[in-house]
Amino acid sequence: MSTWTDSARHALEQYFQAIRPGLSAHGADPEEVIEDLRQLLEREVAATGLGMVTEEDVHRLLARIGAPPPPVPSDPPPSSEAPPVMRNGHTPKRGWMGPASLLVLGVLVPALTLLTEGLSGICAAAFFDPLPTWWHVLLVALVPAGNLLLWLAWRRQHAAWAGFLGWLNGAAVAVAAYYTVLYIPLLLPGVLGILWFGIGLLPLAPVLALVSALCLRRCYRLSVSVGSARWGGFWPGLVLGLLALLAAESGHIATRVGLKMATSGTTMEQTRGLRLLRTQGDREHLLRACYGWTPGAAQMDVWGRWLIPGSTRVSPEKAREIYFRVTGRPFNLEPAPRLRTGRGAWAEVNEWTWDSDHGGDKVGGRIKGLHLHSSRLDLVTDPGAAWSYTEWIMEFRNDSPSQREARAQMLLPPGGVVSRLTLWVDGEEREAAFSGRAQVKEAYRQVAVRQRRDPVLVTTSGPDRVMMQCFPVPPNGGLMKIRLGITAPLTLDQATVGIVRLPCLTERNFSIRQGFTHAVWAQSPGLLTSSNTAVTVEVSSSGASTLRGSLNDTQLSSPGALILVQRAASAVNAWTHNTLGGGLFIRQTVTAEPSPPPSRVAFVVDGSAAMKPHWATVFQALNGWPASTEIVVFVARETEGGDPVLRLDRTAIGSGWGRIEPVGGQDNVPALRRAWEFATAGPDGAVVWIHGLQPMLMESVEPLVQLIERSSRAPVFHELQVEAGPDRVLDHLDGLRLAPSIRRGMLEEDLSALTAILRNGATRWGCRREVAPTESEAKRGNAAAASLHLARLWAAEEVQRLRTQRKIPEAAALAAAHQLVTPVSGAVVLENQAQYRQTGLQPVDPQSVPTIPEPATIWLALTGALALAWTLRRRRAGPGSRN
Amino acid sequence: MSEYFDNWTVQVRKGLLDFCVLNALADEECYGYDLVNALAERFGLGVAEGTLYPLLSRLRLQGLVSTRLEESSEGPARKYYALTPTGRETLRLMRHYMAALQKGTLERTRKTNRP
Repeated sequence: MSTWTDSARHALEQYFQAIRPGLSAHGADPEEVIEDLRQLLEREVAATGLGMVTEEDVHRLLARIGAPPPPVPSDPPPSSEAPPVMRNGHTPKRGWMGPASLLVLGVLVPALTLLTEGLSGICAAAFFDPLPTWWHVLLVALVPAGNLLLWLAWRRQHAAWAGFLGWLNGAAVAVAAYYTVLYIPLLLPGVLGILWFGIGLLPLAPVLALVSALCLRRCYRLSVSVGSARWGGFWPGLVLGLLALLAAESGHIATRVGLKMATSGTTMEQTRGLRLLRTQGDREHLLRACYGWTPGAAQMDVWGRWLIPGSTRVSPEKAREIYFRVTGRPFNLEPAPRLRTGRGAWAEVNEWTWDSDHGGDKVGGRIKGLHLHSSRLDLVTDPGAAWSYTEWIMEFRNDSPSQREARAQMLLPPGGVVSRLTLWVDGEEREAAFSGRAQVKEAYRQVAVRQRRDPVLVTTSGPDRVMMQCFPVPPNGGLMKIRLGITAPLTLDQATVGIVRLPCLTERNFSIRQGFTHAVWAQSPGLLTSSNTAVTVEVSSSGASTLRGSLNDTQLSSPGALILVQRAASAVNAWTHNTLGGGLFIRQTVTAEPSPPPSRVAFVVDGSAAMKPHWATVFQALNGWPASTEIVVFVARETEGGDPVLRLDRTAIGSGWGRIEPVGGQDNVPALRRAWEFATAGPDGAVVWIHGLQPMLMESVEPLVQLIERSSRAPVFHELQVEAGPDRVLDHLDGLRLAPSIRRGMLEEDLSALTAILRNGATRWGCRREVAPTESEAKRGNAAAASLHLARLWAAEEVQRLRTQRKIPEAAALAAAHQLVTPVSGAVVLENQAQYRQTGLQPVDPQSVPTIPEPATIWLALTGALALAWTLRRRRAGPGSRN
Repeated sequence: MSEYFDNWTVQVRKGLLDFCVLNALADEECYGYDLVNALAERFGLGVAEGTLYPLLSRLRLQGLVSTRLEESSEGPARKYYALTPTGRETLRLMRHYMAALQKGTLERTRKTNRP
């Protein structure tokens, strides 16, 4: 019987403890092997006859029986986290990339980053969206999942799924490498953030995950894998991962490449770029480019800088043009794309829009949180004097956390002019100052942009179009209320019928919520009718009528939003004493002039996608013309470097029309120029422009303006826009001698009526307004007394005449005196007198502005009320009082 | 060159140890000491019991061999190792593979040596 020293027993137990993990890693049962070894040693001790077994004997005997070598002495005691002894003798390095580190950096950090970005959208809000789709989320989730599975397989020495794990690891490396490249600009800030502030690990997550995936791959291959140098699956997995990324990013890449091509120097390349964007592009990405990028996002544009050579970020203005050319729609019909954000402060980021057009001349993009809160239109009309006056009161509400500017382009009734502008400041009405266009714009910029106080500005932005901008709509549910007064002539269809077209919004930077309606109330001494079913008409016993109803925005801007006003055919003459313009007398006469059919008609047809539903209707209008009328069609189209205008003569229309495919958004200016040249080549020409929206100008309009201004002949110009919205071409034709047609219904109906007039001729009804030298001359022919609106309409026409004669100062002075917004004048409301003094403006006298009801009506009602009160008082006093 | 060959043979022996152990157990069950002797005699492999036990434990866990204890008059109970049906089937596959490998290697050698 042998005796073991304590040190010998301790050495043996220490040895057993040391080899235990190695045995596990080897796939053996440590307890079983240790027990076998223990018995073998006992036998050896008994065989050698040792009486006392020392520590040295233990080491000697262990060597003799060929026991597994213990780990190197410098290693710490094995624990459950210790790296396994590798089959081929490799031992994993126990540096910072130990099992625990690999688990934290390769699994926990990327998983936490994915969760944080998914919930808060920090990176998406500040720089770029790394997870634009669920597909991206899945691919990113593959990295921590793949690393975790590989880590588990390595720690548990599980070799069964080596092939699958190889594929998974390859895919994870591909995804992590891709995101590492994307986050390169944030690597240094991330490191500095960790060093200085202790935070900033999230931007480093991709590179940490990549390094971890590669380290795990090495550990697994050395310790668990079949032992061969080749561990299949990695490269196919890598390729698969890259292909999956490519598929996820295909829309993004196609958009980038398409944008690059669309902004190139050659027309052919541009057209190909547009087609690529149309078929493969990511509409949301394109829309985001239209709304501009924050400086942070611009700095982070790895795709633009490196991944697509030569791909520079396009400016929002250029992106908006491309958006239109691709889709045929204005970008600001849609708000900026939503970002994925979570709760709390980050949720507000999603409601924030970069307003690059603040204080500018354009309506710009749709601003989140800003919407039309209320809208009412009150209209009065004088059928005899053939005018209408509409007051449009609008309230804007801003639910975003910062002050916002509301901007809109409004379409006025034909020949209409803004004659009143009011802003409510602290519940009080403040009337506008009318002055030269440049002066009011500068005043607005000074107050709105620099001082950030309360102004509202209205200027013209095309024929019958005005631009309204007001700032600031207070944040967090604040309201801003304004009123526009619009004086307009009745469009006379015949002597007994006048037409009023309600004003509407053509372009806006605020939203109109679902179910929102404009409250309409119209009054007339005569009968009012409307084909719109959303309004009702009440007629009093005296024959006066009231039309009222609630129209949604589509109904208000539809061609059918017309009010027909019955008038007496005998009401030919009207007059007014123009107290606004130096005491002149203005006389109006209803005229009926024959309009002979033109000898040549140039049709300009927009080849944009918006025209597609109307293509057959237009084709129908192009047929059946008498041989005496020379007609030519100019189609604005998209070509690869060819002529952007397709000219179709009468004989070619039938065969050529079907071959044209309306697509995207087309520039109509070249076609209009060609049409104008054709129409002015002979006497009695006409131009008919049938088109969709023209929210962008792709080339200068000046050559067209020059043609219109300088041509010795002035063809009749008819313009039919197929849907309500912006028209930048018309904006630039402001003040020119054009006669836009009034839309009355569907395009088919309007086009049919127009072509009938052009083929057969018609009587053109209108009103001639002129200065009468004396009161008696003004009243001549039983002229009816009318309100100052007559003088305002005369002044608006006079301003146009003076403008065409290049008498701009005189025109501006006349417009300001009559308190009108014209191409040479504007209206601005400032907050206080100090601002008016500072800007050299003077607000109008509140007593001089038009109102509903008119001052004359108020006086009439007041006189009647006084008479009634006096009669009642006499009756109450009784007969005795008479004495 | 001989050093390389020596290393190679060591690697081959290590690689073939499982195969040799299963072969040694093919005809009859053995206990540890018997197995060490059998490996040395039949395959020329000098393997100590201390090295063999972990391997046998692994083969047992993999279901290729089974163990049983038998009391011994010469000392403590002996642990006998025997092939399981799975082990037998695995050995059959291993032999087939080795034969194919050998055949391929020899054919290649003959072709190389042919004048």
